[in-house]
Amino acid sequence: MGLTSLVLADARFPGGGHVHSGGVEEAVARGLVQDVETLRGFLLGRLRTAGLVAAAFAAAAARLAARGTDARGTDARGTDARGTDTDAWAAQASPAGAWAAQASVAGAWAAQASRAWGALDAEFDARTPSQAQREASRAQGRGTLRAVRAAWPSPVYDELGPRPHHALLVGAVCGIAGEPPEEAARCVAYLAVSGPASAAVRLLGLDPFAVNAVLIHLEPALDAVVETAVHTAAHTAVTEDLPAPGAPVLDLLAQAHVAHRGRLRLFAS
Amino acid sequence: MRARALLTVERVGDRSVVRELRSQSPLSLVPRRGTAATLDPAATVHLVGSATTPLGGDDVELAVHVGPAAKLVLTGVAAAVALAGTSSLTLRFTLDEGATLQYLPEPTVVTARADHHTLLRTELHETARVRLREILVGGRAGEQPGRYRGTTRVATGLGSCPVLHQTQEFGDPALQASSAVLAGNRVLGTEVLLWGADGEAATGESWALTPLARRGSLATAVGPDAVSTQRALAQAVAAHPGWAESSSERTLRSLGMSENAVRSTTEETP
Repeated sequence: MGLTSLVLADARFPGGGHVHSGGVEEAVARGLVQDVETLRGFLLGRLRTAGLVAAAFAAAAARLAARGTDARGTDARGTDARGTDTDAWAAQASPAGAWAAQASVAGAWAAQASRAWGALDAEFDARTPSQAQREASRAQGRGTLRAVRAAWPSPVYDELGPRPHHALLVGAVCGIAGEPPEEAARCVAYLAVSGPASAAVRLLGLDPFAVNAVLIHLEPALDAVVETAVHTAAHTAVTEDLPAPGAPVLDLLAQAHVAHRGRLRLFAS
Repeated sequence: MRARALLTVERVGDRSVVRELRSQSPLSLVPRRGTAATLDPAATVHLVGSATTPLGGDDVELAVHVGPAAKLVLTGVAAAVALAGTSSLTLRFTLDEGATLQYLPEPTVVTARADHHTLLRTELHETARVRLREILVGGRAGEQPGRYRGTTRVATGLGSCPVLHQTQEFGDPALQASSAVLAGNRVLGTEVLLWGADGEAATGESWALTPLARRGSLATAVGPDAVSTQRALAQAVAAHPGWAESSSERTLRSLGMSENAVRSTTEETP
C-alpha cells in the first residue's frame, strides 16, 4: 500500500468522514444492530453491496485519472511516449501540421476524458437510488476535495465538479499519485466498513477490541470485493457493466435516518 | 425451453392497438378483449406462463415496443414460480415519445433449487412514462430460497442517460441475513416510477420512496410475506406526487366526470 491510500484510509484524514455512520445509527435505533454479532452481519452485507460498488468505481476512476495524468505529462514533454489511448486518438485525428495534430489530440483526449468522468458520475448515481446516500457520498467527496487539492494538486479534479462522489474522488487521487487501481479499491472498500464499525462502538458502547477483530475477520471478503472491483474495472468496455449490487435495507435505513431530522443524532448519515 | 416473444403497441386515434404480437411456449401474451378493453385508451396484455416456468433450461426473452403516445399495461395473471435448475428471463422495453408503460407482474417465487436470472432493460424517451414493479419472494412458505440474480436498468434519451441500475440477489445466506441487505426478510418489492412530478422522499416502517438523481423515483419495501410487502409498496407508490395526481384523474374519469367537470368542481370549492 502506498502512502496516498494509507492517508486516505486513515480515520484522522481531514475529509469529514467521521460524521457518517453508513446506516449504522439508524440500524441501531431500530434494533437491527445490537451487538458484535449483528454488527458483523451488517458490515459483511455493506461491504459486499455498497462497498463493491464504491470499490469498482474507485478502481475505474484510478485508471482514468492515471491515463489523464500520463496524457497530460507526455503532451507537456512533447515526447512520443504516449499511452495507447492517445495513440488511437492521434491516428484518428491527423490534420496538417504537427502542432495542429498535437493540439487536436489533446483536445480530443480532453473531450473523451470529460465524457468518461461524466459517465462514471451518472452510473454511480444510477447505482445509488437513495437520495440520502447520494447526499452523504457527495458531502464526503466535497470535504475530501478540499484536503486533496492541497496535498495532491491536479487539474483532473476540475472534471469531477465541486461535489464529486467520494469513491470516485478517492480513486482519482490514487490514480494521480501513481497508485494502482487495486489500492484505490482496497482503500474505498475498507472505508465502507471501518467508519460504520467505529460508529457502532460509539453508539452501542461495544468492546473496541472485539469490533476491531470483526474488521480483521472481514479480510477474505474484502479481498474478494477488491478482486472483483479491479477485474471488472479493467475488463468492462463500458461503464454500465460495472457491478451494481443493491442493498434494499441500507437504502431504507438511509432514507429513514434523514426523515428523523428532529431526533437527536450523532451522525449525518 | 427457449422462447422469443415480441410485442408492439401503437396509438391509433384515441386508442392503443396491439400491432405485433408473437409469443411461444412457455410464455404467452394474451391481449385483453371485449367492451371494457375497447373503452380503455390503454392496451392491456396479460403475461401467461403456458407451461411450468421458469424451470431449469428455460431461456425466455421478451421485447416490447410502445410507439409514440401509445399506452400499454402489461400484467401477470399468476405468480411465477422459479423451479429447479438454471433459468433466465430477459425483458427489453422501448418507449417512444409520449408513450406509457405499466409493467405489473405478479410476484416471482424463488424456490429452493432454483437458479433464476433476470434482466429488465428499459429505454425511454424523455417524455415517456414508465412504472415497473418487481416482487421477489425467497422460497415458498417455510422453504429456503434458491439462487436469484436480477438486474434492472432504466435509461432515458435512447439509453444514453442512466436513471437506475441495480442488481438484487437472493439465496446467499450472508446477504439474506445481513441487516444492511435484507435483514432476514423473505420478500422484496420495488417499483420504479418515471411518472410526472417526483417530489420529496418519504418513508414508513418498512418502505421508502426516494427521488432518483436524474429523473424518476424508486419505491422499496421489504417484509416477511408477499401480502404485507405489497401493502407497504402500495403505500410508497401512493406517496409519489406524479402517480397520485394521475391516479386521481383516472378515478374521476371512471366516475364519468370530464376534466372540465373536475376543474369547475375544484374552482367552486371555497
